Amino acid sequence: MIKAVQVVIWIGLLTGVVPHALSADTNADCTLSPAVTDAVDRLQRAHANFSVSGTFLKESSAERAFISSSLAAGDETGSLTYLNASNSGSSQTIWAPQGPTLSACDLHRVYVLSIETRTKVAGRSTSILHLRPRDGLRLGYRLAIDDISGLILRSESLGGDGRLLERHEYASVSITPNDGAVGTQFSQADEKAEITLMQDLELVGLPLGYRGRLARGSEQRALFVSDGIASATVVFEPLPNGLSPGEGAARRGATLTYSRGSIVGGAGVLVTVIGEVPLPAARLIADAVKVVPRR
Amino acid sequence: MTENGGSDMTEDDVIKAKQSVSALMDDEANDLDVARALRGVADSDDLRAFWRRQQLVRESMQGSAFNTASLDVSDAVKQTIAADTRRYANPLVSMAVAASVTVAVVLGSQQALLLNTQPLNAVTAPGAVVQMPGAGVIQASFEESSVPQLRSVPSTQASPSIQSDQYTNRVSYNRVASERLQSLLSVHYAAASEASITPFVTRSIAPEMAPK
Repeated sequence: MIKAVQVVIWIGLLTGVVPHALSADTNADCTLSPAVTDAVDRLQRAHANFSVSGTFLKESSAERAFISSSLAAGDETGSLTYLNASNSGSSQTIWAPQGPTLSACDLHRVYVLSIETRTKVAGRSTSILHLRPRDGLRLGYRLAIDDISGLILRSESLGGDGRLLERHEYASVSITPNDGAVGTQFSQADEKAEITLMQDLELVGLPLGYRGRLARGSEQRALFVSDGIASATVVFEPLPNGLSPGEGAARRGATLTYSRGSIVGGAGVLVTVIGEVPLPAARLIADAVKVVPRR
Repeated sequence: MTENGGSDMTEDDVIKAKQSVSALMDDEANDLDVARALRGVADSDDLRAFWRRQQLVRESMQGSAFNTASLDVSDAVKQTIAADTRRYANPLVSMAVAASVTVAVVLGSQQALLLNTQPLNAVTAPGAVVQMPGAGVIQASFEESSVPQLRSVPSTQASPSIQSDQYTNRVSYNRVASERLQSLLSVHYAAASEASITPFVTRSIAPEMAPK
């Protein structure tokens, strides 16, 4: 149906329209403790500098599972296995975070950052980094960060009302440094190439701090938006038969899916936002993506 | 029968009692709401009918629509309080009545779910008290509902059939969203590696949700 009408995803990447909330000039009033800035910095370099393997517990209202994971230093992907699953799908590929580096001051614009005295997780000393959202458009997090490597050993995702949505915690973990590591080689996004790719797309009115780009691996039909931590993928497809325009949502742990159907140029389009964002943010993200008939 | 369903309640009383019933259905009722709702359903046929409608709507919104129009939890509530309406005067007994109402509602819901072919929601894991910096103590618990409530402004002009269509459409969309949650999670996780920080130990997909 979409092909027939030849809709174009109109992603409003209009410079100056999309709030570049994480730009450097917003850091003027940033006064954070060295402990916080150091934790954010180490957190982002950890996967390039340290290999990690171990068993962690994942808990949410929908799931409680023991999972073993392994990710070698600098590798793009690793693997995990659900230990208490008997069916297929118990082994999976996991992705190491590879986004552009953010400073603590970048995050300070949309989260209140603080660090707490140390505690132990899986026998290792950690510091607790709190990320409290400044608005209702992202979740809150408490991250136990390994003092040596900067890896997250325990994470708790909290909803706006303080409800715990999801918790991960290593029960046992082995962390080894990557000898000769030269630090994280983050692929700073080639802004020129990105804009060339998306020049006929527009995305207007994303929530504060969020920025959009084509979704890795699904460039033809999906967008990815993130504030550096909170992230969501926006997928487009024809509206299933029998559905009139409307909206619906489902949540599993910290992950929300919001689907909205609408009629554009006589054709039905279903926009789905999936990610670790609150419902109001998902709605705003769906609003920001305009789908218009191709001229 | 009087205008208010055979009771001596004033129109204002009925409105307040309906609000209390709504709060009870949304799990947002305080002790006053519970007492007011109980008095209302004991005295008014109109309010008992309202209770039944709210119960059906609530089930419909949760995606567990069932064909049991005759299921009437309010009768159980009425029987519960019929013995001695004066017990409301005692706060302790009032709490016991509130607990009875809760049991009645829960039992009613369970009966409804038994008639439903859909699987039950996952069991809620126990919560813990956590302290967030800059905030008071918060009772943390895992999210219970898999269906976030999308609140829309009720239209007083809409006919019952239109409202029913809206609920049906909402349930359909919630189902679509659930299906997309399963089918698109791996797509999202691949894309999300381009976020600067993954705020989890790692992202994982439960085996029953993993792509086949």
